[in-house]
Amino acid sequence: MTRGTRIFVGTLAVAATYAAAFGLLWVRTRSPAPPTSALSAKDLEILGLVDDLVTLRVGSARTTAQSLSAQTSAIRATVRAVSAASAVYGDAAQKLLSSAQLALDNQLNLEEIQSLLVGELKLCDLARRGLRQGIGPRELMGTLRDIEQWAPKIESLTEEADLGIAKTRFGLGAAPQSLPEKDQWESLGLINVQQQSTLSSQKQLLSEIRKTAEVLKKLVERVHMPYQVLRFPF
Amino acid sequence: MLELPPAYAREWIRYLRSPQIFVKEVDLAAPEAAKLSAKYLGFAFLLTSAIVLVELRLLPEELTGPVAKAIQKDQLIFSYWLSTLVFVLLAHVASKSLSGQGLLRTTLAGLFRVYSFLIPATTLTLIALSLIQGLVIGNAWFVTPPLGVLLLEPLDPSTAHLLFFAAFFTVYFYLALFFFLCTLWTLHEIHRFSYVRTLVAASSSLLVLLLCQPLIVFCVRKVFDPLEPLIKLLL
Repeated sequence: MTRGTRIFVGTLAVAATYAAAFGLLWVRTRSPAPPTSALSAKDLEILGLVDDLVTLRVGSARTTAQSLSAQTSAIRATVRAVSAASAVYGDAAQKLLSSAQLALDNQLNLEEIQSLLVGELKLCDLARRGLRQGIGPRELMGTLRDIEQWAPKIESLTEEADLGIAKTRFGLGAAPQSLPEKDQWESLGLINVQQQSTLSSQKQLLSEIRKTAEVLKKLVERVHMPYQVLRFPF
Repeated sequence: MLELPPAYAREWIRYLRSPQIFVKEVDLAAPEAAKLSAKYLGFAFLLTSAIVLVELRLLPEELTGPVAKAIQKDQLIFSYWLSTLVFVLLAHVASKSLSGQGLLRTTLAGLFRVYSFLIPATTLTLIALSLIQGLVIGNAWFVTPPLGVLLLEPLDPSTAHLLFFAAFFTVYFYLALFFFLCTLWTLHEIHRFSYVRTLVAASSSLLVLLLCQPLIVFCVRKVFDPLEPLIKLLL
């Protein structure tokens, strides 16, 4: 066989292999069935629990965000009322106004934290829906990574809020509780207790979100095990 | 020990230039040949493992988890070395049963030497191709030695992408064929029988190996599962 013939036969063989490879890929990728994730019965059970938890938490987090917003308006009204009645409150007016302002700052922090938590829950919701629909692992892991990246920021905000609420509580405790502004002090005291309780719930929610993200990550890794395309000879 | 890498590199290049002539020229029957082949195989194992670890580092971070799980499931980084040993033994038994003339020592020397050159070469070639593919198409693939490709994302069915993938698979096919031909040339040279018998011996050994694969993976997992924390540290 001459060199030219060998080159021709070789080129023909490579071309035939290429055409066969392209044909096989064409047929394989033209499958009419949409991609679905291979969820086992156990995975589906776990995902079902995650579905329920996330749906519940998204709803309640949104409700909490709305009520926080209403509370913020109420506290702003309190600040305005205290400011307007400063002549009546005399020397205590400055301390009262300062405490009211701190309460408002704490409330705004809590609102910000709540809005971030709602965002995190929406990402969890996106990830769990993506898992059911068979979305690729890169997108799912990217979403879960966003959740992980935001969690420390939220944690840092909760620590700041904790400090602010404690500072306000200290200020309220040290303040004189005399008339005529006694009602305002009591009202601020109640707001502080409510804020403490809200912050505590937010910390718990953040912990749940982190655990949910971990569970979803494990599910993604299990479900989206890379399948072997080629392997030869061992 | 320090002389091993340069000697290995020289022989590696010499082998890849002309594999069929190499096995004819090297005296595989010499007593020290088997020892040297075993050393080369050990070196190739370390080299290939290092290459794969670097490859893992180059993966997108969000895909490292799924890949690590897949590797662990079938012990893809370690099981193929045991499979190589089992295949070499099976190939010798099959060759002897077909009236092959080579000794076990010669078969070990020959095939260990050849695979110590081939396995890093094919791994590197596939990794280079998958990196090019990643740059051009953007899909994340993971190459396992000696000739394994894990697809981590679905294939984009657009014609342009399929044309590119088809080129990759064509190269893969000829790499696998080259791998098999090198095995045939070596067995033929060692056992001095016809190519038909060589083909039968190699094919039957591969078939038996495929049947034994789950047992091999089980044994490797028993050995390497306790080392999992260390592997995770390296990953």
